[in-house]
Amino acid sequence: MPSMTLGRSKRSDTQENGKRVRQYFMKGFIYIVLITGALIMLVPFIWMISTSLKGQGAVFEYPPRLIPNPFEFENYRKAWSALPFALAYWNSLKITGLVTIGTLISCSMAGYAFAKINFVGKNFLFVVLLATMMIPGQITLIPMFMLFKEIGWVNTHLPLIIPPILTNAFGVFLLRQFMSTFPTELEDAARIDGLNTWQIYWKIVLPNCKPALAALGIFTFMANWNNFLAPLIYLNDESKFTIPLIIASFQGLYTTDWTVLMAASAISLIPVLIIYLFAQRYFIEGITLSGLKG
Amino acid sequence: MKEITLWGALVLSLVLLMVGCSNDTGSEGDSGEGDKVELRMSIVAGTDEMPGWQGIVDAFNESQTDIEVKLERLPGSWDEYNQKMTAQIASGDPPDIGRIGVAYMPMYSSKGQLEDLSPFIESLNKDDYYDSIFTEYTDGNIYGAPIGVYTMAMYYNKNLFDEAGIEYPPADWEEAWTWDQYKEAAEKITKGSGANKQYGAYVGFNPERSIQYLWSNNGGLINEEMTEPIVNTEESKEALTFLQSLIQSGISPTPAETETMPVDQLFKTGRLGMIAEGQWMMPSFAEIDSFEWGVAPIPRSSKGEAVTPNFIDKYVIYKGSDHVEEAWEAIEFFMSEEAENILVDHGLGGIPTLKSVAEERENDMFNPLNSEEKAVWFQSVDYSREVPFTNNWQELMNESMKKFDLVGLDELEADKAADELAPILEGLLEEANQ
Amino acid sequence: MFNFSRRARENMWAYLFIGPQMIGLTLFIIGPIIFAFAISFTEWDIGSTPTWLGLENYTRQLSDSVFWKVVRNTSFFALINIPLTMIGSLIIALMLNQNIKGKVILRTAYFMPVVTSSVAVALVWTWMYNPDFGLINSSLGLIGIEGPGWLSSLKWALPSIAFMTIWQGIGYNMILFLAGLQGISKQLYEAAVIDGANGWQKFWKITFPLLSPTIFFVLVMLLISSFQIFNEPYMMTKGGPADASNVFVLHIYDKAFQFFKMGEASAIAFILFIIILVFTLLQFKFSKWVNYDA
Repeated sequence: MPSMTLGRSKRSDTQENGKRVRQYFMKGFIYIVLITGALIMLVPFIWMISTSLKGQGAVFEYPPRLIPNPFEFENYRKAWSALPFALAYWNSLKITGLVTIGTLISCSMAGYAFAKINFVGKNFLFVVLLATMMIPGQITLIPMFMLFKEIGWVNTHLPLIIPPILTNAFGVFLLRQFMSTFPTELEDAARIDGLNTWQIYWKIVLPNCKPALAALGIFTFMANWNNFLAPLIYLNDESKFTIPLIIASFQGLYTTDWTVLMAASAISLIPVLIIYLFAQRYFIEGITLSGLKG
Repeated sequence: MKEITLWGALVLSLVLLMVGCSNDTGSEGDSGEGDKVELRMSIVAGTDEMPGWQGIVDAFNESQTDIEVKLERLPGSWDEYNQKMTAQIASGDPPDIGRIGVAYMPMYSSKGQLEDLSPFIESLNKDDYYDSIFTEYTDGNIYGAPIGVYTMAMYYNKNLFDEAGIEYPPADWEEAWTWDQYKEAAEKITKGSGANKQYGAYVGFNPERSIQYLWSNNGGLINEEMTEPIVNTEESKEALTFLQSLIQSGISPTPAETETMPVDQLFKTGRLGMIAEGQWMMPSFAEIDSFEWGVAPIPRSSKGEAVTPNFIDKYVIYKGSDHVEEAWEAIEFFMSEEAENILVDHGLGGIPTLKSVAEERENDMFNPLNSEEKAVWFQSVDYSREVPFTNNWQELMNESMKKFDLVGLDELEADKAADELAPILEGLLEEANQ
Repeated sequence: MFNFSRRARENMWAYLFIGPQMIGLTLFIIGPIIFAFAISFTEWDIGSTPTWLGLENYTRQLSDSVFWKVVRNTSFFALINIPLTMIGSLIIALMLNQNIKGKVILRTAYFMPVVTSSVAVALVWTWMYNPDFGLINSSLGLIGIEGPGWLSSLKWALPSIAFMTIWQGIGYNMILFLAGLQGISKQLYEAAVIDGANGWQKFWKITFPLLSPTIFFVLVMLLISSFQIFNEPYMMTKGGPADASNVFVLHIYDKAFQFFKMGEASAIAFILFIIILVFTLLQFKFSKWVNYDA
């Protein structure tokens, strides 16, 4: 493909013109690639929405019909009225909100220390931190459950809130990488101005890490919003259930109600999309570090 | 400065909410309301099943004043149920009552995780119940109380039969179709290709859905004593080869094809002539309005009888429950006419274990079938056999499927697969019987 | 004197900053890991008390053909997944970081696979992979190639799962790269253009070095997540046909919660841990190319 654009650009007469044409084709090429890719990315999403609006029998039609005929908004009503959907929605919002805020604070603090402060045992602790990500959760599930049973957290939301905030090695590592590039001269200047370490972290470093914080925020929100196994294991009362548990309920032991399942999934997607659209603003324009030269 | 107050507010709200959370739990943690004994009952169930289970629990709670059963419902599958139960058992926090799929019973029993119910079951009037539903574990104890009997039969699409000009199969298990008749009919129904191909029949190799073909030919996977594999006998191999031939000749969809289109959906969309499945499919198939369908006995080998596996899920009391007596009271209620009637109302649990309920409610069960076809289900119990579930059944299934996958994909001849599988099963049986 | 107290202060700050994460990890992760490690030397079916086995759970693996199959499969998966996800997401991020119209929509489209219900994703992909009428084989048919049975093929099941994972991973890692790209100041590029640099030179002289901390992060995380791949094979193939797509964590899950051999499951998990740890430490050892100076 690139050679094609090159070939075309050679045809133009002047160099000036050639450059413009080349840029023009380059841009066209980028658009074609991006739009084709985007369409491939959207297929399951489109299927999900389309299925959520179909009647029972129409789900497995072939060839698949993109636009449902007739539209069955009934599925959404069924999903929403499956008790306790609204309550679970609230539970999920509460848990996920708390975890996201908590994670951003705790991870950025640790990330800053690992990136910018020299302290005894730094490398060792960092390796330990990374190492905790390398053990599959399947084998720690039972001992973790025993622990939560011991401290009385079973059948509460606490195991879904506290550990995710305090054990996010991914987030620490991510923010450490971003903060490492923060110019030390700026910190030194701030120190001369009399700011202490906390103030430097809070006032100077954090505001300049917004894109990274936004990325971590999206990921944290999404991961906890969709978390299925932990609430399944730790929660007993239906009144404490989270959204993924309710969605899973539409899959019976023997058969699955695909249309309602997809409607419920679509409703569940809304907060994640809102958070994403809100956070992605920070990727639009680069932040310019005030007082920094390139 | 502004930023700091913002963050401060966030942190503050975080702390407040956290406190709120822990308050929540404090109030519910020790709910010693009066002198009532509170029992936890844990089941796996989707939203479609919940009204029935909640129904019997509510009825029990209303029936007396001393005990309160709280239903803990788990969405998902048996995989997740087992995972959660294991975690609870390991931490010494199992529920009191549970519903366990029959395939998992030996696993729980062999580890001593269930209470022996035989003394309680002695007290029941066994004449009221169907025979042979109270199954003993190998140690002679009875660890589970039967919920209801699930069997399998052959669902068939009447419209496709009419189109192909084939007579419907007989409804009497004694006169069940032979494999030859079955294959002939299936061949006539099969037509087309690609995405809208119409299949005559479906056969899979999952032993929990296909063991009846091996049994009917006097074979099986392992012997009834669970000491030896019999999958490599001539009889078993013959049955497996027959199943493979249905896939090879294109009458049955291949495993690859059913990945894309779950078989129940294939049937529901009218593209499948016959499928051997359980009663549990009735509610889902009852939604079909685009064609007529019926139920017939499962085809038999010319060398043997028609047969179906039965699946009798159990109520159990987990070891470690502080209220075994009370838990039994609840289970006894769940086995009463009142409770079984509620389950029938919601189409749950299979054929009731109480003869009286099964007979009285004949009209309310297995709709929309006609009475002759309903009889297929009631009669099936007498033609049913228990699958010899071992205490490491999951592993047995896993290893079997590894071989059978290849048979379904036509990568391996059925009799060769059986020969390769036998020594593996032998090893696993040895392990199970230690 | 001043020096000493400053160092002490720095240490204090650092421990304060990493405190929450370190306490959380110790309580919630490292404790359970130690428990699981102890269990790996025993036979434990979760119900009864564990019996001591010594190293047998480890040595047994060496002669287990399924174990070696799993090692081969997982390594193969990582070998495809890491480079393709890395390159794919980097290219998409670079394209989407340009000044083009419809940026937000396109970015959202690429992120959709990450948030779409995993049930919908799995179902649509099994459709695409259908040997007879799936999108992929239909397309191949147009150019005269007869495609394989993908998910049910001994040869193609694992690559099929890898492609799907890559498809999903592109959107995920794109977010990280976009966040990283915001830290690169525009003046740098403007200066380079004045110096007559072309696109290729701009990438290697400016983008790559300044993005290298993010690239390094993505590389490390891709390694860890590739070796721990679980959800996709669990949903699509359960490791089949005949172990063709069985991978480490799926194997561990089976041992732990299907066969209830917790000791053996733990032992396999710790073998996996050692493998990941060694590779990760190697990545850190050869990370001279990562540039942390702004």
